[in-house]
Parts: sequence; structure tokens; C-alpha cells
Amino acid sequence: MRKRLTSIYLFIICLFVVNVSTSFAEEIKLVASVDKNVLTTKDSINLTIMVIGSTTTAQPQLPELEGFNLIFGPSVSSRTSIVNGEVSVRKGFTYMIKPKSAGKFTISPFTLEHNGKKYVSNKINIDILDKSESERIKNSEGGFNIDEKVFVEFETDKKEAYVYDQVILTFKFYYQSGLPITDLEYSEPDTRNFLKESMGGQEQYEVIRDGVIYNVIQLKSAIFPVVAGDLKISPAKVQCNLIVKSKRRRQRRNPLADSFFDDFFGGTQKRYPIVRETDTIVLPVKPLPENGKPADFKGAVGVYTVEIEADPKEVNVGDPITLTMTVQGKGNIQTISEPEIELLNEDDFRVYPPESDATIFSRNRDIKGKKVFRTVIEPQNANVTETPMMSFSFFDPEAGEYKTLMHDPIPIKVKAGEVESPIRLYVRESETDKNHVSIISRDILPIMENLALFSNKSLPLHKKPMFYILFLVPFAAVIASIFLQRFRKRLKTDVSFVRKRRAYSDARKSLSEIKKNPENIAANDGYTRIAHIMTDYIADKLNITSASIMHIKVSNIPEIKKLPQETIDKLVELMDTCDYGRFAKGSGAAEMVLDAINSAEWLINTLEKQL
Amino acid sequence: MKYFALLLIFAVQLVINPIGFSDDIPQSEAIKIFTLANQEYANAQKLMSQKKMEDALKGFKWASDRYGELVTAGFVNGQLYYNLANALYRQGKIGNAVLYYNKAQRLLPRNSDVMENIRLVKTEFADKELTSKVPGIIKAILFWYFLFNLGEATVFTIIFYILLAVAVMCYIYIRMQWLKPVCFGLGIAVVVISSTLGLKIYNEECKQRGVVIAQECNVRYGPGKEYEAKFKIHEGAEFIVKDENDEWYKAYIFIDIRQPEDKEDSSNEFRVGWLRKSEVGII
Repeated sequence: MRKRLTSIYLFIICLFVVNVSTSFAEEIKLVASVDKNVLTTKDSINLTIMVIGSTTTAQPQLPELEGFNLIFGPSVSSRTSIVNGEVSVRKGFTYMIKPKSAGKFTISPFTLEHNGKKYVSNKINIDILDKSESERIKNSEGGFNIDEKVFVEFETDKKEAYVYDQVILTFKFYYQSGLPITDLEYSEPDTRNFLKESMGGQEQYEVIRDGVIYNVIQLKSAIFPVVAGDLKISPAKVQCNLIVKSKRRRQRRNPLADSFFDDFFGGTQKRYPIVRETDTIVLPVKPLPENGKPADFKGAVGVYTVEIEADPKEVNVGDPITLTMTVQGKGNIQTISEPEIELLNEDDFRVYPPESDATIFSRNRDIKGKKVFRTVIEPQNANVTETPMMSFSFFDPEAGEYKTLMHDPIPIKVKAGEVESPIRLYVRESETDKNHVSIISRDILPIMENLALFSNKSLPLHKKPMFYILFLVPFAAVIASIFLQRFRKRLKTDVSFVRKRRAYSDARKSLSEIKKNPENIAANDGYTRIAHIMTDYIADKLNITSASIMHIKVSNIPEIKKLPQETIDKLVELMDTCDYGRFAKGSGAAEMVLDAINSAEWLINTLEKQL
Repeated sequence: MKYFALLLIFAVQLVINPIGFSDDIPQSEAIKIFTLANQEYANAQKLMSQKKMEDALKGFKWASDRYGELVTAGFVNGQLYYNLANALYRQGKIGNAVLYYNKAQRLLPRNSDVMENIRLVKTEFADKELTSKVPGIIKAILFWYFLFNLGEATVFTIIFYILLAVAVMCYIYIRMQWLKPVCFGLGIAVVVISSTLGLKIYNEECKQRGVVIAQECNVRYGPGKEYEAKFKIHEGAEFIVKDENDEWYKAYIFIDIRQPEDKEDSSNEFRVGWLRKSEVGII
């Protein structure tokens, strides 16, 4: 395990050495800088000469310092940094110098000889102020001119542009190297009247201005004016905080000495808000010239190339060929339209609207990208031998003129359609692209001719009598069912109702049986049966037992008493006749029995109505 | 039970094939006229495609006259109204076409051809959409109201009513407990469907809707030419009749109003006014 780790470390070290060696082989650069370039006679400055690209060089030769005394130095420092796999090395030699008197001085360039070549650094101008001037600055600006240490720049790469032309808008935020800037907040400018395309994230680097090193945060975006005229780009704004550590014991210091920066070490932390706002940019935008505008120009501005491919190149009549047209270049790639397909004979091809897909592949210096248009064309006859010619026109803002790219037709082979289509085992990806169907014309739909449904509906169904019958019949049926069911239930449960209901029919039935053969019935038996029929009938009607009627006189029954007198008399007479006939011999002639039966029938009919 | 089944079959038979009502025009004669008119329409359509517009127009007019004969004779049929509307549209009579398309839609509410033609013809109106639209949610909830015509709604009402009666009778006789929820469900269905039928009858027979058939129609403050015109509506505009007086209809018109002093905003609202009967048709 340990052996394995050792070998990994060795591999990493080898890589590092190779990279460092590679960087050593590169050109070296000398950069001279100071920590301040405006100071008083009482201040000292740190003068640093940085050798970028090597750490093995000799010490650069210090020039003659006119107007300064060397206090000490050099103190040597070296730094190696690896960013994205790239190794950069630098070595610094710092001297502390002090001005001899007030005035404007120049520190001459450092020189260095390395590998037989001579390298020269930049020179630095320095202002040394006298005491009165430094007091004035102290009184007017609080002793610290932060504007020189933190500032912004906002610019376009073009002083004027055409409509839809690509303009690079750059915002730079500068702050002197070493300043503890934090909480950066950037407010974008208002770019109405422009299409905007971001150019990646922020970029950070160092620059030297007047011998002072600044850190720069840079934000870039591409904007495309959509109208002509003097277009305004509103100011961009950045807010941040400067962190300062204030000392507990205040010391009398030179006002132009960086009290802020000297306070970084020790004391409590404070945040000083800083706001920087740029000026408004006015960009004159010219309209696209009308002179020389090609007929097929569709608004593309920039510099483009076009590639066109056809696939497949051998088809049957009516089969689709996918034309892939790739427009590539610098400009607003998102908004460009497809190349023009120029059909010499409109009957040769059916052309479908294209589908497009835009990709931006470079956002560094410019917006560069490609837009791929895929359109389907279908040859309509076997005489077609090549695809249509295609052209793409654009306005080149750099040349200030329109350009048209013509693409020659692509040879294809078109065979006459076969009767039977071959079995297709797969679908090409391009064939799955569906197109929207566009409506060619608008018209009403044809008439209806279904005679099976052609009948007169003049009288609505709800107005026909049958409608009401159909409503009434089920209703009546339900009501009848309710009553019928109640009736059936009563028949099963109510004995008096059943006896009363059956009394008449039973009595009539029994009487008719006697009546059928009166001569065969013995007289006594006939009267007995009539008496039974009558007593049974009355008992059933009144829901009492027949025996109870036998023992009391019929006329004494309360319900009978309520009957008309004639009925009572007839009933008593019949019952007496039957009693007499039953017990008296020779009184049973058939005629007399029949009279008794008729009398009984009359009585039953009468009682049925009156009881 | 078999008696109830027989009763149900008899009832349905009576509804489907009603008996005892004679048409004003014999069916065979109506079919003959309808077929001839259809043939003439088809010929005119061919002439139109051959750009023989004058002859085509004559053909459409002849066909619309034949369809009109049937309509005048009291023949009521969705296909007849639709074909007549097509023939009128071909002659440029948009208002009359809309009138008969609407009549056809009442009888053929699910027919996509009728709906499509109404939609197309409405795009040619001079006025902005004037009829108040029923919200989609109402259409979804009361779908059967919009799905069935009056006759179909009547048939459904009767069928459900008879089913309810049969279910109630079954419950009376056989007393099965599961019949109770069936009866309850059918009862609710009958209430809902019969309410819909009532609403449909009210909307189609008690509430008159009309269409402007003249190219331009003045909506006046009162029933007479002596009254000032409030505003003008154009061919195809729809309205609801509120009242009538001799030669005039008092109508609700759902209009898109733009006040003269306000050139930007407009508002949709009902306005009441009087329309001349000769300039409008009742659906």
C-alpha cells in the first residue's frame, strides 16, 4: 500500500516538474510596480520588480533612482500558481525607497539578462507632493482618495453599429491590488432596444497602471441593436464593501499615507460601503442600407458560412430527402432565418417548413455559433437529378455590404415509385420529424345526404299525446300495484274482510247448486240447506259464528235491526219457513223449496246492498 | 313480471315509432325534392370549382328554393336546415345561413359539420361575437343538455321514467332490499333529466332567439321608425326576443360596445332595443 502511494506521489511530482519545465521554457516578463504613485516627502514606497515566468533568473538590475533614497532591499519572494492545469511562476524583488524632495520623478526600467536575452521592465512615474499640497488634499478628501484606488470602466467595442450588428459591452471593476473588497453586487445596465447574449461569467485578472497593480473584474455581454438611432445604454452600477481594521490607539500620520490600508492589521473591523456607477453610453446605430439588398435577405447580420447536406441521395418519387443546412459564424445566431431554397420548377419538389436548432459555441471575444436547419423535400418526379439551389444572404457590418452565399445543387438519384413499398425495419431519425399542417383554404363543409335519417320532425315528441300517455300509464300502474298489493295483504291477514268478501259468492253458489236439481233434494234437506246458507251468509257478513245465529232470533241481531222492515220481515219469514219445512212432514214439495230458494236469492241480493 | 316487460317494450315502441300523426307533406315526396336539391347543389359545387360562378350561383339558388319549399311545407329536419344553410351561404346570405345552421344545430347538436360551418360563417360577421357564450364548466356539468336534442332528451326522460316505474313496481311486489337504492338512483336521474327537458323546452320554445338577416339592422328605442336608432348591428348578429309589437321585436342583444368618447376600451353587455321583423329571422 505504502509503495503504491509513493509511486502516486512520484507521478504527481513528475507531472509538476514537466509542467514547470514547460513554463520555464516560455518567454519571461519583467513588471515593475509600486504600492502608491502619489505621496509626500515623508512617505516611503515599496518598489517591486516581478519576474514572471521564471524563478531561476538572476536579480534584475536596479536602475539609478533619481530623487529617491534606497532604504532597504531587496526582499525576495516567489510564487507558483496552478490554474486549470497551467503552472505560472513569478519571483519578486521588493525595495523600500523614500523621496528626497517634492516633484515629479520617473523610476527607469529594470533590466535583466537571461539565457542571452535582455529583458526590460516598464517605467513608473511618481508624484511627490510638498506638505501644503498634501494638507489641502487631506482637507478636501478626508485624507484618502479612494476614487484612484477603486473605479469602474464601461465601454463598447464599437463607436457606431448597424441594426442587428454585434456589439461587445464590457464592464470593468478596478481595485488596487491588496484592497480587501467584499460583498460585490453588480446591477446590469438597461439594454432595451437591444437583444442581449451573455458572454460567460466574470473574468478576473491584474493590470498595471502608472506602476500600480490593480485587480480587475470584467463582465462582458454581446448586444444586438434592433432599431436605428442614437440608442442609450443606461449606467451599470456596482456596490461593495471595503473592510478596514481600525487601530485602538490613533497615531498621527501623514494624510496621504494610506490610513485605510495601514489599518488592516490590528484593531476592529469596519465595512466602508463603496458605490461606483458608470456613465450612460450613447451608441449611434445605423439602419441597414437599402442599396444592394438581395431579394433573399432575411435580416441576418454578421459574418457567416453555410454548409448543406442532403440525405439520402437515392430515393423514390415522393420519398423525403432531409436537407441539413448549417449556418455558422459570428452574429446573433439565434435570430437568423433559413437559407432560401430556389425552385426552378415548383412541380419538381414538395418543400416542407424547416425545423432549426441553434448552438452557441464561443462566448469569448464574440458570440459565435451555428444554426442547423433541417427541412424535408420530396421529389415529385423521376426526372429530378439534383436538389434545388440554395442561397443565404447576410449583411457584413465589418465590410459594410451585403454578401450572398450560393450553394450548388447536390446531385441525387430519383427512381419512379414502386407499386409495393418494401418492408421497413426501422425509421430514420430525420423521418420522425413531423411538420405542422397548414390550412390552404377555408370553406364550409359539404351537404348531408343521409336519406335514412330524413324524416319529418315537425311535431316534437313532447307535444304528442303519446308522450302524456307514456307518462300516465306507468304512474297508474304504480298506483294500481300499491292497491293490489294492499288488497292481497288484507286477504291474507283480515279474516272478517275475507268472510265478508266471500259471503255473497259462496251463498249464491250454494243456492244455485240446490236450484239445479230441486226434485232430487229431499224437502227437509232442502230447507235445512237454505237455512244454513242464509245463516252462513249473515254470519260471514257480520263476522260472527253461525252457531250464534242459531241460538238467537235473527231479527234480534243489532246489524239486522238497522235494515228496512220489509227486508227483516222477509228474512224472518224465510227463516220461519225453513224451520217449519225442516220439521213438518209433507211440506217439502219441490215448488215450495224453489220458492224458498228464490226468496233466499232475493234476500241475499238485498242484504248485499244493505249490510 | 312479463307484463311489465311487455309494457316497457310497448312504450318504447310507441316513442320510437309514434303512430297516428300525419305529416303535412308525404315522406316520399319530401325525399324526392330533397334528393333533387342535393344533386343540384353538387352540380353547382362542381361549376364553382370550374370557376363558372354565374351558373353555380343559379344552381345554389335552385337548390335553396327546393329546400325552402320543404321548409315552407312544414318539413322539419336537421339535414334539410343544414343543406339549406349551405346553399344560402353560397349565395352570400350569411344571416339566413346562420339562422338555418342554428336551426340545424338544435336538431343535430352533436354534428361536427354543423358546428364547424357555424364557426366558419361567424368569422365573416361584421360585428364582434355578439352572443353570450356558455362557460365551459357549465357545458361539462350539464353535458347531456348540450349533447342531446329535444327529441332525444324526451326519449331519455321517458325511458328513465318507465324504468323508475318498473323498479318501484318490482319493489312493491318482490320487496328485495337492493331495489331500494336502484329506485332512489333512478328517481334522482328522472328528476335531473326531466328538469333538463323542462329547461330545454323553455329555452327552445318559450324563449325565442333570432338572427339578423338584413345586411344592416337599426336597433331603435321603440317599435316604429319614428323612434331614433340606438345603434346598428349587422347580418348574422344574434338576439333574444323579449316582446313583440306588430312589425317589431323587442330584443336583448349582447353586444360589444365602444363608447364614442372612449376609443380604446369596449365592454360586453346586454342592450335592449326594437328590431324590425322583416330584417330578422327567428331560430
